[in-house]
Amino acid sequence: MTILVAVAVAGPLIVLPASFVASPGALSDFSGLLPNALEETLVLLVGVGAGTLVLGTGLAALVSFCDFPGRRWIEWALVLPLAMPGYVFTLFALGASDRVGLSITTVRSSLGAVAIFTLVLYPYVYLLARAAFLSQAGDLLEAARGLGMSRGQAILRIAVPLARPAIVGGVALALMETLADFGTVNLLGMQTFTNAIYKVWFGAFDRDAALQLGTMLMTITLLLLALERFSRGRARYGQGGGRAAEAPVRLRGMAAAAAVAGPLLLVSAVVLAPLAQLGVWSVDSIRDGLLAPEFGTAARNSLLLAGMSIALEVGVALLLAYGRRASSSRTSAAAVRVATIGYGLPGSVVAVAVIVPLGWLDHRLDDTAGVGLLLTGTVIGLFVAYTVRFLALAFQSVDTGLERVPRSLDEAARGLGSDRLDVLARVHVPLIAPALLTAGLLVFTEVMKELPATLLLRPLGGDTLAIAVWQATTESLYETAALPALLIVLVGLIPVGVLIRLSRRVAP
Amino acid sequence: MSRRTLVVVAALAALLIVGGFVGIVIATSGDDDELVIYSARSHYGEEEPFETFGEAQDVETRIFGGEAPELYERLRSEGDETDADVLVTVDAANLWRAEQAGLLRPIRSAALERDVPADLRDPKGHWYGLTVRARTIMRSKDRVAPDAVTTYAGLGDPRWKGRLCLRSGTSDYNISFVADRIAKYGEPATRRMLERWMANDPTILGSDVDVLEAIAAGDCDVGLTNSYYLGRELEDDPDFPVAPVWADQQGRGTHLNLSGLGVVAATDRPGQAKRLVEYLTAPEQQRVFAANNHEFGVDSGVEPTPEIAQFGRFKRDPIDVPGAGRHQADAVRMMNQVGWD
Repeated sequence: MTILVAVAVAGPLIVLPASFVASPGALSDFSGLLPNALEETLVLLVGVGAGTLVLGTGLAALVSFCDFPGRRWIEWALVLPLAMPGYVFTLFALGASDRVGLSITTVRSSLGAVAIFTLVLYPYVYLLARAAFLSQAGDLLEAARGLGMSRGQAILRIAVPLARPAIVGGVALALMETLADFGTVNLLGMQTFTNAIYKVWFGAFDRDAALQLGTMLMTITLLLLALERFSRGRARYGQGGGRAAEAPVRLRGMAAAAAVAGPLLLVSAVVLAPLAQLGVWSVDSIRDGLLAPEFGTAARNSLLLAGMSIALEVGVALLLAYGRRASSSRTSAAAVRVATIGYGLPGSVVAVAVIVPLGWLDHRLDDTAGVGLLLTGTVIGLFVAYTVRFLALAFQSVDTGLERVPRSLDEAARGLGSDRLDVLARVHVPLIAPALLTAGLLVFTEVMKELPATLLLRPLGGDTLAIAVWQATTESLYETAALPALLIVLVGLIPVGVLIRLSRRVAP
Repeated sequence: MSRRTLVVVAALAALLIVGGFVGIVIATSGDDDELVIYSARSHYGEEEPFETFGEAQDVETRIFGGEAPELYERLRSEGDETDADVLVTVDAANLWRAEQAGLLRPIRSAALERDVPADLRDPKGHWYGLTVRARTIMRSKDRVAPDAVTTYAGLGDPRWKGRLCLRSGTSDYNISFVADRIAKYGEPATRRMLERWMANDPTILGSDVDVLEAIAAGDCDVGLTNSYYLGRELEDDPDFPVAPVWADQQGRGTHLNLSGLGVVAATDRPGQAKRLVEYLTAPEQQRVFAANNHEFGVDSGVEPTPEIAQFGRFKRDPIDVPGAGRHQADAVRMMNQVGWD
């Protein structure tokens, strides 16, 4: 079953390596693009990796181990940047750079790109690290202090290493987002892999060479995933019971002021300021009558697609996670890996990988049954692309939730006479409900933001808010783009809010 | 949770998927009676002439937007079953490619031959120009005299070192410009010109609008953009301190790219599709296009907007469509080699 799902989800991606067979020499024409693409991609990965690691872990440690005025508010405010799409923040940063005395060329540099990605992606690390810190047993830190470590040393040498799987997992998600991104790197002029793919495909009309570049990008993603696995090694990080975390230390004076001001400044810069700017532009655009065409339809389509994706992706993720729980074989573990690699690929590459085999199948179906284009002309193709692209996100969350349920619980319930369905309904679902919800919400925000796959695979009349933003920004009509962008961010804030409520309930 | 609740929840989720799916299919299927236009013009849905055609001909029109290369992939995948009747692109290269792939059907008529000059249409009638865009030199009104730079090659003069702004090499407009130069002047000459540009350490920006605003703000003195972006800036602020230089007037003329359209080979309504092409290229609608987006009509007799007309008439050098189309890949390679990121 697991393998079946994996084949269905990752199957289309075979188009990528297959391009080497279809036209073997295609890429050699563009080999000049490679050194640059590799270098800039690597610079981004290292920079964003280090940036999100330090910022995400640092902030998580701050709110987990220290207490200061307004901590409960700041704790959740720090998650808000998750709702800010990278390309929207970049548009804002480019527009605002003048006013804060930065030249536009400073923003359009490797350093600027690393900073922007770090600012919008650190919440992945922050969320996971914070959850890990809060679930750590207080005894360990106390023991460390008893052995003569200072509080800071204890956090750095005990708490952070113990939270390593969570932190590395968060960094891996952030890096995969960075690899898949096109909007931000295009606006910033970074010559990354996605940029090279667009040049070769859209500029030079060489789709095969573009797919070959996509294969290399997929390889980098696989390496990242392997690295994440490797970093966990064979060690187990479970900590049985123990007392709850140590009471946080109360900060005073300058330290408390800094602990409040730092995060507030961060959130204002990444979320509040762009929202204010978008708000002003939206008002202008409404006043000037510059509304994007069929704006209402676009909003409805966005909500429908994102809503339906929740049910679909979480369902598939659940299937996979259960498959893996039922059999601990290497094959099913590998199948799961394969099913989730699409997350590190740009949406347009996924879209082509989907449209080629589905289109072929579609014409065969039409030839035999005369039904017209059932797959590629409707939302089916679009959902296939969403699944390839975002399954990893849902799976990660569902799987972590399920892992926390001890198998002994299943056995106990079965021993008490429950059948499988009963165990699922009365034991698992209540226990993993928060994980399911998290999975659904992450998928929802991602689908709201998704552009390239939607652009290529949507049915006639299926325009979304993201498409309205794209349509206006390609012609530099920022005022027209503001209202749909504002809506994407605001709607994205809702799931983030729910996430926060959830994590509060889980926290001690 | 009881097992009953679980079954109910699962059933509801399934219902949501199926119901939503059916709903979207119904909502988006439209009727077969509409004329479907695949358009890469980003103003799709807002452009008057497409709407007025529907009203005049009493036919529903539906415009489906996207980037040209994606619309191309979609058309190819849909094949005979496509809903599309007309393909509109914002640059010549994508029209050429669609024609090469057999996606367009030739049309001819006396009206089309009268309204669209021969160098802005396919000799066999697979595609016709809709509007043309001039990609030319922009200068600061305050710091650069009108005759300080008059040719594209002149942007490579060392006097512009550190004072030149260009849009990124990922831009289709730049790639088409370079491909056209390669087709007309050959690879060595084009490479020499680009190398001299790059020797001036140009500031690379993300859009034509950024280039214009950088000149206005004093970050650079000269740049290369499409003229209609300047038209828009001047509409907002008549004192915007940037003016175009119509390049290469002593030579071939100023580079023109074209937004064009053709009838899709697999259309079910070739008659209507052809009437749309005729309607949009006729002088009356050409004036509307020019007025709404500061572009130029395919016929040089169509008056541009006052914002652009104030800079006078100029000699046009339309893009060599098949030539530029064939040299797109060479252009991408060359720009990468000279360091135009």
